Amino acid sequence: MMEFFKAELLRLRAFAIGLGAAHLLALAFMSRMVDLAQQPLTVHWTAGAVYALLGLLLGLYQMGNYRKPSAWLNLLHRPLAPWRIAVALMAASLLLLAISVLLPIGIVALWQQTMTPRVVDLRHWLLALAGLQIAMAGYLAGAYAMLAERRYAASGFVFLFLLLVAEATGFGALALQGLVIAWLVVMVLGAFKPDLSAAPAPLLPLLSAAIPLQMLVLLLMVMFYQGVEMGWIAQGSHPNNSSTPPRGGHNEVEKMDDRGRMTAALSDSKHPDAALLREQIALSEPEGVAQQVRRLPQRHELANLAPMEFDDDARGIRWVFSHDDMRLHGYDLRQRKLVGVLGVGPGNTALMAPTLPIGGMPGMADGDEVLLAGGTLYQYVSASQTIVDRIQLPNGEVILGASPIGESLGLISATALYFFDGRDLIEHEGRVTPRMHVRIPGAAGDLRNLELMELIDGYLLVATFSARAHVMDGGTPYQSVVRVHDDGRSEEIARRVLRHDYPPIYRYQWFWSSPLLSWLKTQSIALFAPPMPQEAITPAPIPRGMWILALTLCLLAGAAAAWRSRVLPMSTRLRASWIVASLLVGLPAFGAMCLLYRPRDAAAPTP
Amino acid sequence: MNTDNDYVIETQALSKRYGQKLALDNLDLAIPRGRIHAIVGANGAGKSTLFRVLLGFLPQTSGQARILGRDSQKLNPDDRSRIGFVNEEHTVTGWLKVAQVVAMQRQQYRRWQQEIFDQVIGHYHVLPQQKVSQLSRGERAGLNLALALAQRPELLVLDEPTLGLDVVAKRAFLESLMYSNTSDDCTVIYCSHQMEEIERVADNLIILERGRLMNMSAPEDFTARVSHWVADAPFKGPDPRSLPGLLERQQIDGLQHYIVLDQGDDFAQFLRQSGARNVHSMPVSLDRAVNAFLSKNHAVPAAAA
Amino acid sequence: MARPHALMIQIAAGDPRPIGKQIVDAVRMKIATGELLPGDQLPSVRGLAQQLTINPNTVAKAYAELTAEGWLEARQGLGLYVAVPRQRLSEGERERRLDEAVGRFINDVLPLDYPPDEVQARIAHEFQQLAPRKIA
Repeated sequence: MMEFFKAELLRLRAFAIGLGAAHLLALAFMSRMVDLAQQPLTVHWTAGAVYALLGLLLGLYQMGNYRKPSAWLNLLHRPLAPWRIAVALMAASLLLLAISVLLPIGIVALWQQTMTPRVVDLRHWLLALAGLQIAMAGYLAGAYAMLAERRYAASGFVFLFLLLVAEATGFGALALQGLVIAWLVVMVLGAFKPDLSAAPAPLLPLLSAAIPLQMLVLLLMVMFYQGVEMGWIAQGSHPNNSSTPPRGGHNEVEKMDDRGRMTAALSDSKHPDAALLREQIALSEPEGVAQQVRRLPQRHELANLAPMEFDDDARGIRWVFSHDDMRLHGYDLRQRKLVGVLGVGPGNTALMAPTLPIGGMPGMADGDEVLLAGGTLYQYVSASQTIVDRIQLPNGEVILGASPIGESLGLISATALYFFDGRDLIEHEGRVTPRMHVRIPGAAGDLRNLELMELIDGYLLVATFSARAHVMDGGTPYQSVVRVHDDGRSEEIARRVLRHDYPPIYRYQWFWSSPLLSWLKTQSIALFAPPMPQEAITPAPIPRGMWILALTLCLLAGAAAAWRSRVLPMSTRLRASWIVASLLVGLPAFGAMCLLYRPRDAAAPTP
Repeated sequence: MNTDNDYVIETQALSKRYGQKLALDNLDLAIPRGRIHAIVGANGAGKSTLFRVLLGFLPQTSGQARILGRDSQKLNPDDRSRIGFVNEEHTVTGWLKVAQVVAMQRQQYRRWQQEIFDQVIGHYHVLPQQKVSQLSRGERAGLNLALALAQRPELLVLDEPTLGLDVVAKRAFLESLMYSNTSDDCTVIYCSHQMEEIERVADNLIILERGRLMNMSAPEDFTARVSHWVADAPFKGPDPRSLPGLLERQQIDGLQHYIVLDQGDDFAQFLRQSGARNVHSMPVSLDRAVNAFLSKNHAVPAAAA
Repeated sequence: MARPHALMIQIAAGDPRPIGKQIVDAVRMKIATGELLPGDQLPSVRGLAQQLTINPNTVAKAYAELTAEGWLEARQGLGLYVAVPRQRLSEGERERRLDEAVGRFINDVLPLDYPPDEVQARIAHEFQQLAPRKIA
């Protein structure tokens, strides 16, 4: 086994060194100009895509070399178990990727830490590991694609999609990558056998290959539906694209302007004040209050949503937030020297959450910066070079948006809208408490629009909950009108239920295609994910019609599997397993079975 | 070692179908232990398919295949250590140096004997520090053979090993194969198109055609079955379809030449009855015999071995 | 101990006769013409095979046939030697073989269209070329 490992290393040596050098040069060049530790999300995604592609090409190249029938025979016809050969080859690739992906990142991080005043957190070191793991996942997917029969070779790519859309961050993301790699390794080992044309036989490799394949089939089914939707759009009756959206539906409301939305919300109301309020709406200017933060920065996350640094131009200092000690580190921009570490208040205590600088607010001095840290709003005061705790939302709520509302500052959390007196903020120096607050009458994940209008005696709040009305995890869309009085009392005075513009068969397409896989998809994407209050939802119960459709299709899939497997080369037990799988999973399992097994062409009957 | 098994390769009604084409057609083959067996067949006769199935790299459509007494689909590493296989691309690790390849093989094969390797490789000018990909074709073939023999396999399969070799290399190869010490307890299966070589090397001649076994016997026994008749016959001679055992018919300078299988002097009678004069027969060389046999695509039952 | 007598025979590429037969014929011819004398040791099976680049089994079979016919004898532990000439064939067998050989010869020569006496003269000439001691 060792000999194979060493032989393969020798073969790929030039590739690794060349690539590693190029990678290092590229990173070195970039870090002269920018702080690679403080790049926005798109840069990280691009880098990840590049590493995955690199790994993929390596996998295709390495296995492509061995895959030809005579080369494969000579590789595997040895007194060495095939899995050992596979492990040797994979280990060689791992080492190579470590040299070309992990090492350059590590070297640049080391340089950045020792030779520059820039902040390098643990999470930045972990980026090297993440890069390697992503490259490794790409490699394994490519290796599997080369080894497996063409019909199901693309199964490994499902995991690359998963890594792209998964919500895990930081250590969770690393763990997820690790799990993906472990799964792909089992897949590759299962494919590494003398007879490449056969589907894997032992249970674990078969499951490891079959489940992603079923996911892939499901993905293709949904893509097919998208294609159908394109046809629908072309035909012109698609709700989103018709010139006039259907009446009473959520699309109609979404297309309105803010005043129109507010008026619409009151249109069905039987409340005594409704007419009066409608008039007031026509006369006044609504304020838009938006949920601006779609993703919250997590501690030790590997990528940045946005650079966590800001400049104090008055003093020529750049302040960078460090996840490790949850404080700001400042360095002099001209002298490139570390100035100090800044925490909150005189005790220099740690900040409450990973902090994003969001600029200045009206009434602040030059050089001051507002720092958003989860549910806390800090103010960096340039003059005294201190951080002051200005606002903290109660109950651990997180700030999802901030807008001026007249003289006040409105802060929106997942559950409520808080009003802070503007003068208070400017005049006081410490903690400011909210003047009043209004509960948002619905789930944050469903909230699409929020309109606020100042009345003579309070506010009128209109919330439209239709953000997820087109998918299955959204609740029934509706609008809610809340009247807020001067003394802080609030009451819901109207609720207008909107119609779903999209039929259930469209919204539940993932579900009825395969309830089990749809659940698995949701779970995988959310695996190790941090809490996301801004995405809190209250899904409507799945309509009975959709359950019936799903179960009917599952029965159909089971019948199809039973019929098709008659001509497939399977033992009785295997056949039964696939029929059961088709009954449980649905059409994707039937599709996977058809892709994995082909009929063994029966020999012509001999006379 | 499976001593109770007399056959190194055994197939029963082995068939392999690719879509419409039958690469192996109900093949019943039983190759006994010991000696050198040559397998001859036109391209597409099923040789490479047969070995892929026997070594477990291809599943059969139907029938059974056993190698060294073990089911082909269930070979374990120990079985594989007893079977040597040499074809053109044996050295899949072409980027390694010769010494490194030897070291690797030594590690993997417990019964490796360095003296055998040295003896065989001594016929070729191969230096340990040379990269395998830089060797000439003949040197690579010699290296592959040396590696295979040094493993001391019970069964050694050589697939067109002298293809593209020059005369010197060919002779060196044959010498290494036939005269090294290892050949004694090793059964050798030699696939080739080169009749001249086969005549020298083979104890047993196996002819495959279109996935079926056409002949299995000593080469001279096969040759003895084929005869070449020359006759002076009027009007291009009797209808070829009426001639028993006809393999090939040619008209040269007005005379009819017939190459026939399993025909004795009765054939002369037959020709004379059809009006031929001056009927003579000649023995045929192995090359000619096999050629004629393969060019005539009829199913002829194999003579008893 | 005498060393094996060198055996100067060739395998002809175009010769339709099987290799084994070529060896048998060649050895017989050499014994008949006196190139190999009784008591001369023949090369080992391996040796001759290597010399001709053929399968040792073929040589073994040829030697076995020659021994069975009485041309060679095996001396235990020492190898194969040319046997003292003894006629092992019966009269009838000799007669039969002569007929066969003559028949083959006629078959081969007739198409060449030589006048019979020229052919006979050639045969006589060939016999004359052979050394006095032979054909026992």
